[in-house]
Amino acid sequence: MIIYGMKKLLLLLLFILELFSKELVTPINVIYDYDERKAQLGKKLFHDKRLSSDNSISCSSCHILNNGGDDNREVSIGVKNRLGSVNSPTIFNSRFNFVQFWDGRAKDLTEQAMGPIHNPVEMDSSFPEILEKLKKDKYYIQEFKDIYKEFTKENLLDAIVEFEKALVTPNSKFDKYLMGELDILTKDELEGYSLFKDLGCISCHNGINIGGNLFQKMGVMKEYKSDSLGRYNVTKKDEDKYFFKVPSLRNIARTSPYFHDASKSNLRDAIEVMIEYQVGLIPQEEDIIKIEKFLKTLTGNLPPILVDR
Amino acid sequence: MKKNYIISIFFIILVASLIYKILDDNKKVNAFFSFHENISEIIIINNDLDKFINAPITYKNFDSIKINIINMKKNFDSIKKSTIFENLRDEKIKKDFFSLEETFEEKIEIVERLKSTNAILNNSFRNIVKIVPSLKDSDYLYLYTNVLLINLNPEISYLSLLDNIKNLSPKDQIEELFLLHAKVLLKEFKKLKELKEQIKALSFKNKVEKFSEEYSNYTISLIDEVKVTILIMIFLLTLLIGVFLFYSYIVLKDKIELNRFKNALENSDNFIIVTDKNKKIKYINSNMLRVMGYKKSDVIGKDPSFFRSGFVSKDIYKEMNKTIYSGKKWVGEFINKTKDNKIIYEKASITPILNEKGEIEEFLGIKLDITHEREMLNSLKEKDHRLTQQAKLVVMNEILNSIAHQWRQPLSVISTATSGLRLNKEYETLSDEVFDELTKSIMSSSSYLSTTIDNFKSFFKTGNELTLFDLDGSFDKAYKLVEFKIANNKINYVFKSDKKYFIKGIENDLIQVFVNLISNSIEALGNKKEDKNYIFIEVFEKNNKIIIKIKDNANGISEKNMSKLFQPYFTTKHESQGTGMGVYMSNEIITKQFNGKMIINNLEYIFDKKDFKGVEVTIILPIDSDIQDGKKSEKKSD
Repeated sequence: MIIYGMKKLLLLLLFILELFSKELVTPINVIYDYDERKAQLGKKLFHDKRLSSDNSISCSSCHILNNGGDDNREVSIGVKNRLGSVNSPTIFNSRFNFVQFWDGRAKDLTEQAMGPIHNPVEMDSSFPEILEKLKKDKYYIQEFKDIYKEFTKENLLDAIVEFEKALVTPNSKFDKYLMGELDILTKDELEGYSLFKDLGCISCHNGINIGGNLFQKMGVMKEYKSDSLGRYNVTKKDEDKYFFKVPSLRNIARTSPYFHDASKSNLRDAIEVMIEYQVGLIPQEEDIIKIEKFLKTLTGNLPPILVDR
Repeated sequence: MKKNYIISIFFIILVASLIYKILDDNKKVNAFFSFHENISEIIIINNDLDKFINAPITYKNFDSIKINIINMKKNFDSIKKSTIFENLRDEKIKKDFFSLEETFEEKIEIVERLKSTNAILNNSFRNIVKIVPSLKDSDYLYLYTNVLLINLNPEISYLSLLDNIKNLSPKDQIEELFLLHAKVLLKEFKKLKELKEQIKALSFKNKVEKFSEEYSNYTISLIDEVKVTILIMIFLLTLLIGVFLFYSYIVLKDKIELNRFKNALENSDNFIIVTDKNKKIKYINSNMLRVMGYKKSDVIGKDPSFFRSGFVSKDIYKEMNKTIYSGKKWVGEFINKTKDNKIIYEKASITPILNEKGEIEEFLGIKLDITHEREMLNSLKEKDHRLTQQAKLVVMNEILNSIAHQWRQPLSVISTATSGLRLNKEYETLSDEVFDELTKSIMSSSSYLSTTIDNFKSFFKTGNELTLFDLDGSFDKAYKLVEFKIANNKINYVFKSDKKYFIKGIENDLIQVFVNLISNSIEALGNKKEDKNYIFIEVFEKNNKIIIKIKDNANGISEKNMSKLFQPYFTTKHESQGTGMGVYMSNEIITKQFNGKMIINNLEYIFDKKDFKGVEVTIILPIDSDIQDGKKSEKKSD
């Protein structure tokens, strides 16, 4: 027993050392490495409803840029009021995600952008169709000629992706804290951060995006009822069932409803679900409140490209 | 020249292709290296991934994995996009590469699961620790320890632990939670182990290393090829440079030689003139320009007849043209004129220069300016003429002296006779006998005068014609001219000849020589004022030559004067007496007209038992044997 106890202690010590020795969350650096002209062109395209088959919606219909980068609906509404199957994730900081979509079926933003364009319940369009429409617009012809020399599918996607790359939300309270303004967080917020680490949330929500860099099963400790099979849709392997891309927690306070199924509309409930299903502890009310307070410090500024205009 | 162009073109092509090849190969080699770099990076990133895979369960920032995977994909893409990859000759490498990429994709899929497992394990480890202090049951604590040690101690069985969990029935929420975590931990441990096994089974690392080696071998063989081609090209280039240098050397040598010729032409004292086939001047050397007084631009393109003075007959030019246009060399003389109308004598040779087909291409004229020589010759002729005249005057003087002397006696006879006639007439004593006697003596004397005049006239009669004459006769004639002087000076004239020698030439000139030499001796003897003066003349044959010796006993000439004897205008006599032309002219006549030789030396000898000292002049003349034979008959008619 003594040996067990010692080992227990030893392991505990190791965990604590590990905890303090690594920075698990990194701030957004104020470096916006994107091409301004391309991004501006992409911005135009992003707001252009001609990208959908009936000219009814644009990218920005579901990724509303002056809020959290999503549409705050449970599922998005596509052309002819068709409904999507999962909650629209925020477009903000999506460049930092390791893959795109809940099930990670797009390896990058370019692949991602093609998804909604072709999805029958979203834009339900195609590139030949879009190009035909947009080529009637002198603005595009001129811009593409100036920037890319050619107006092609690839260049159109590239412009949109460039715009998406510009959509990062810097200078959240927590970023400032990470960058050295240690007293910017309130006591509760700091305690919230401690709990966030202590409870193990940080096991999955880490990195620059506080999430967005691994797949995880929804319902690790407790079965979570879901119609969507997540990663399985891509790999078709049983072991990948109910695995979803861990979403970023940046701007989380603005991107309700939560989870792929939009089952929780407020942050507090979402935290509770997470503690119960993922962390495997009994949620304590005061912990939830503190964590919620901490999560609210993750709301950053609007991307400069949106502020300027 | 053509060869030169061809070599140059080859050279340029070779250099250009070498440069192109080197640049291209350099690009290729760089591409090979960047390909290699990609592979090395893949290996490095894979090591990082493996480090993550084998790292203990803990908090992790998965961004690093994300970045690793992105970089890995970048390397794969960069290889796929490289031209080398597209142009790989070895299809197996391509195949291996795609299989490698496939393996990587599989590995990434497993790594993604590993990440999830890692996160869950980390979470449950952390949280089970929080639960454990609230546990009282030793079974739970035992289970806990075993669960914690499951990945350290292989003896702990996953299945038995799972059975343990199933057998335990939780009494409260804590125990329930504990069992939940324990179950998750076991399950995830098992999964972790399986995932690691799967990754191991992929043996991506081995595959990359194998691929790297395979590619290295491929690269080495390609680089060797590149090396060989470049070496061959460098060798060719070196060879070509050698040929080029050799050729340049030859061309340069020719050029230097040509330049040397040009310099020689340019600086030659000769006139060098080159015309085209239409006789338009193409080149003219500076000496000719200088002498003729023209500038190059004045004469280039003009016909050389431009220089003609008009003193050369047109026939000569016609003949010249005929000769040179028939392709033959013409040699002759021109008289041209300079810009200042100065006459220039030229000795010219004109050579037609033929091309390979034998057609006349141009004419080369090489001319020597002989104006100076011509002028010298003319002045010499003039001088000679003058000297001859002077020498003749000397003879004339002798003749006049001789006439004066010979006439003195008869003139005084005439004078006495006429005064006798007059006297006898005045005194009327002129008898017929006396008159007859006196007129007879007058007539006889005037007849004598007439005879002497005829004699001298005949002396000049022969003039300047070539005649056949005998040497003795010539001495007689000479003697007659100086006879009175010999007598006056009481000189014994001893003439001795072994036989008659006939000579062809201008007799007067030879007589002139004898008169000159005898006169010189007479002068010398006259100055001596001594008794027994002699002039010996001896003619004999020796070694098939006529030897004439004229010697006196006038004590000879000083050594100092002896050396100057043959110079013109030299004289030992008083100015009034000598012209200084004597010995010089005599020598000229003997050597040039009679092909003889004249020697003068001092001599001591004994004559009539007495010692004498004097000058001996030896004249050596060739014997013309034809004349000696054929002349006897001729002589009679003389």
